[in-house]
Amino acid sequence: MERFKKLFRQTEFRIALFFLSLVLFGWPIVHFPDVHRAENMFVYLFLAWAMVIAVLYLVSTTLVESGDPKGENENK
Amino acid sequence: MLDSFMVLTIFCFYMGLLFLIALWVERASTVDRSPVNNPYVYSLSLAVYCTGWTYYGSVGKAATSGLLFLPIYLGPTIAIILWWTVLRKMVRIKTRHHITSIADFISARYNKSQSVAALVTIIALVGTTPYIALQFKAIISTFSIITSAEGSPSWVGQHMGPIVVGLMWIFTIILGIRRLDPTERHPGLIMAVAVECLVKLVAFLAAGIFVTYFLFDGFTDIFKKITETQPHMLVELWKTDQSYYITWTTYLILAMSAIMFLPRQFHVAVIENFDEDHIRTAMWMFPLYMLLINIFVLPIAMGGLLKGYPAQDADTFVLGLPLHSGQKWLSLLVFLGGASAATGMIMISSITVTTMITNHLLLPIVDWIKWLGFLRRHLLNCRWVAVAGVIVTGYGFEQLVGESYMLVNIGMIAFAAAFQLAPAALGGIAWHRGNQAGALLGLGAGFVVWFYTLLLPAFVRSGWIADSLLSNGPWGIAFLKPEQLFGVMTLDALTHGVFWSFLFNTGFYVFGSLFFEQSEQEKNLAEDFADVLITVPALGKSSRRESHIVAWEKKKIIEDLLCQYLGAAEAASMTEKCFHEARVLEKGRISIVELAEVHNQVEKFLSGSIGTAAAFKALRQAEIFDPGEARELSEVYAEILASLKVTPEELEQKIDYYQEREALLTHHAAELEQKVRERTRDLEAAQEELIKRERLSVIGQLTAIVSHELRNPLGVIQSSAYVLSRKLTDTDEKTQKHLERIEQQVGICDSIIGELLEYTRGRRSAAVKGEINSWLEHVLDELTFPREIRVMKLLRRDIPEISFDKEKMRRVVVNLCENAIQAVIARQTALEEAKIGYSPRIRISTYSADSNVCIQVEDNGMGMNSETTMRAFEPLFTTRARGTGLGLAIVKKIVEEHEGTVHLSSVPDQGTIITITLPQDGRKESGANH
Repeated sequence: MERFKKLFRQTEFRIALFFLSLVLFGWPIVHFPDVHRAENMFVYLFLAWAMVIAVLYLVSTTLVESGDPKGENENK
Repeated sequence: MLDSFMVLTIFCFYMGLLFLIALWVERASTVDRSPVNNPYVYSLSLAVYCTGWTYYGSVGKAATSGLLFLPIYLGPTIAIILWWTVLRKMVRIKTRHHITSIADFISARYNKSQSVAALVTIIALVGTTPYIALQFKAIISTFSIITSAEGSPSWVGQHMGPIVVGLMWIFTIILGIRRLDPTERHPGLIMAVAVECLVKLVAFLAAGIFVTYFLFDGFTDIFKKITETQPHMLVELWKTDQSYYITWTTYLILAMSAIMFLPRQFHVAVIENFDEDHIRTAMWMFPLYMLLINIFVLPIAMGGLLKGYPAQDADTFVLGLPLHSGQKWLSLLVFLGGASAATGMIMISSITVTTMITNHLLLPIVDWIKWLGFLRRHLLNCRWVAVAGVIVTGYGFEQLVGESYMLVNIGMIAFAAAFQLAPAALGGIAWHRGNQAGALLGLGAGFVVWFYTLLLPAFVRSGWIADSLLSNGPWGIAFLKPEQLFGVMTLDALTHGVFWSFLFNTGFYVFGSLFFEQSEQEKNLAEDFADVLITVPALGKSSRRESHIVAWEKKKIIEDLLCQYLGAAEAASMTEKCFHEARVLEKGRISIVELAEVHNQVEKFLSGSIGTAAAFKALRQAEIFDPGEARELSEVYAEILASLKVTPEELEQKIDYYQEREALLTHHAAELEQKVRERTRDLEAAQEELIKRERLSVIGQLTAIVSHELRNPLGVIQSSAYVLSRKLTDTDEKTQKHLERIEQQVGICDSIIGELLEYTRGRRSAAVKGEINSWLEHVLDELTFPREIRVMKLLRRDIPEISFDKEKMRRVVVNLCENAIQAVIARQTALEEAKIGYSPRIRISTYSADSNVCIQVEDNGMGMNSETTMRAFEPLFTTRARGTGLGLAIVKKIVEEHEGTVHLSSVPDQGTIITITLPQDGRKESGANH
């Protein structure tokens, strides 16, 4: 668990999550090959969105626990 | 349908309730911790992003373009991932520089440029006013929907626009700009906005749940029905061509920028932020809010289509579906939700734009036009007028434009306007080289291209300008068609405008920043902005003295540094000593001031070991101060500078002055030291002389007493011997010989006593200038040399006159000659015994050399060994049985009284040369008493 916390609180992780989200919510992941599968894409988008929010929640929690709320040493 | 008066009353009651909440918050803020200082309130207030355009327009967009409404909310979610770095930087900069708006933020970074601030204000004003019009349209049209019966609209319905304008103006002033606040924070308004955001979420969810689960059987049912019954609708909705994805991406990018750089978003997220920690909660709560408010958008849109409403009326589905289903109270709730979304945006945007207008447009104009100076005293009134102007302009725009293309699309065009601020703002906090010229060029170019490629075509499509501009280009130049600029035809209008404006904006920003030099102030500001997170936030004086630096970490760094020059044990010991000298040895944490003292101690020590320059370099490389601490130390120095109330130039002059003074003092100190050394030497010599004189004085007194006491009996002996010798004329030869011996020995005793008195007592000098040769010849003539000694006189004629005491110098010459006589006689006696031939010789010569006059007495007598030579001038030292040992001592003493020197050169069995050198100008005619 500590490893995950350490992972989440790193700036590099947030940058990676940023680019992952760009991929998750951009072409070609988001595409509409078949009009009858619209519901699938709708579900995918909201599930992916919820997942990103969940990760963001974990990230925010680890930032609390980092003991460095002001983040002075973030870029060291 | 609902009664218009009742709806208005409820609307006013709702606004009144918000006012009471705001009032309570403002009063609570003054008494205790502000209720707005709360991460959930902060997160909810950020949802002002979801305006009336979002509230109603998303469903409209979903009904016509499928999921294309979603990037408007996915974009912010992606951008928010980086908020812990980006937004926190902005908040910290806001706190440090007392930023009041996005125009203030960007201008503060670029040399506090008024031009940059004015340009940003114009962009914000142009982008915001039509957006406000859109909100009015949402309120007025939904009020009309909810209240209009089959018949003509009521009086309230007819005048809903002015009523809303009036309410908005009053409410904005009361909550936002009732008084001037230098921080531009409005806790009451923010709480009201947060409540509004909660209401609109609840209202939208209620509408969504009603449509999805009461009109239909859930999501699956809606999707199933629309696939089965209206597949053509889905075909329309799910466009799969390339432009759809490009537009999707453009929306995503614009929304990512809008969540930070729309003036109202910047205001709520940055200016109204109480605590950086609130960002952490907002990072997940605000995206969650957006997810929730969007989850029913598509079902409502599809539900409306399935119910047979036309897609062009989809903007009203949220309100229309419950209303037409007879759900009056739900409809009223939805109306209040929509009104909340619209009024929240109007209030925040108008306050933000008004602040920028007064600060960055009005005040510079007042400074420029002197007779408008009185307006400075009425700044608050000016703001009231400005906010009225912004709101009325927005409403007027809505009335003028109505259903035109422009108003419908102004949402994304406003996003594109906010996007123009992104390069300068993001560059400002991430790129050190960005400068004022680059910002001005980039913002200017971006704004012009945005206006030309997005706003101008919107004017054309609204019918205000001839459409030949779009079809043929200006003056028929196709290459300059606003929507196909430089021949680019593959992009949709929005993407095209965003692409070119961003390209020009960023290109000119980078070019300008690289082409023009930064001023020193800009460099400092750039560093301050870009490195704000790795620096300590602006702290009070007392905070700077707080001990927050971990001492052992610094100890380790210093020890490692010293280890490069010393052994490990010695380095550790020296580190301890430095900490001890700085009086922080026992501390676990130290302040920046204490660290600076430790640093000085280490530098002092190292300077002593490896030199100042090398020590300075070594300490710099060791990086005892990290960047944050270095900045903190700079701030401490700045504080000191500020407390001295001197400008840096004055300080430099003072430092120069004190450095010169220090150099002068050092020079004087060196001179003084030299003088002290000389004086000490003189004093020591004087002391020695004094001791010597005292000793001589004692000896003199003793000699005088003894001499006096001896001379009396000696006189008696001499007289008696003389009498006896006269009476005993016929006595035997032996008796006569003894009598003569008595007389002779008494004479010797008298001579010894005389020499002793001469040496110890001295007498007053009587130096007289005269020619030395004649005087010397006279002295030599008086002397009786034994016949067998050959006396040679070599007296040079060109000798200058000198001042000398003739009587004393006579004694010198007599002593030297007597010594020479004794030496040659002693050698003659010795050689005669050995039967070796010998011709005794004494040579007395005078000559001048280097302005000195020399008297030299040379003999070929016994000579002296080295030890005797060294001690020859010591008083009472003699090698003769009957010598007093005072002859040469007297010579030396008299010559030194004449400030001259005596040089003795002697070789055993060869002879002795004694040279007396007397300075030509040495002895003054009135000599000292000796």
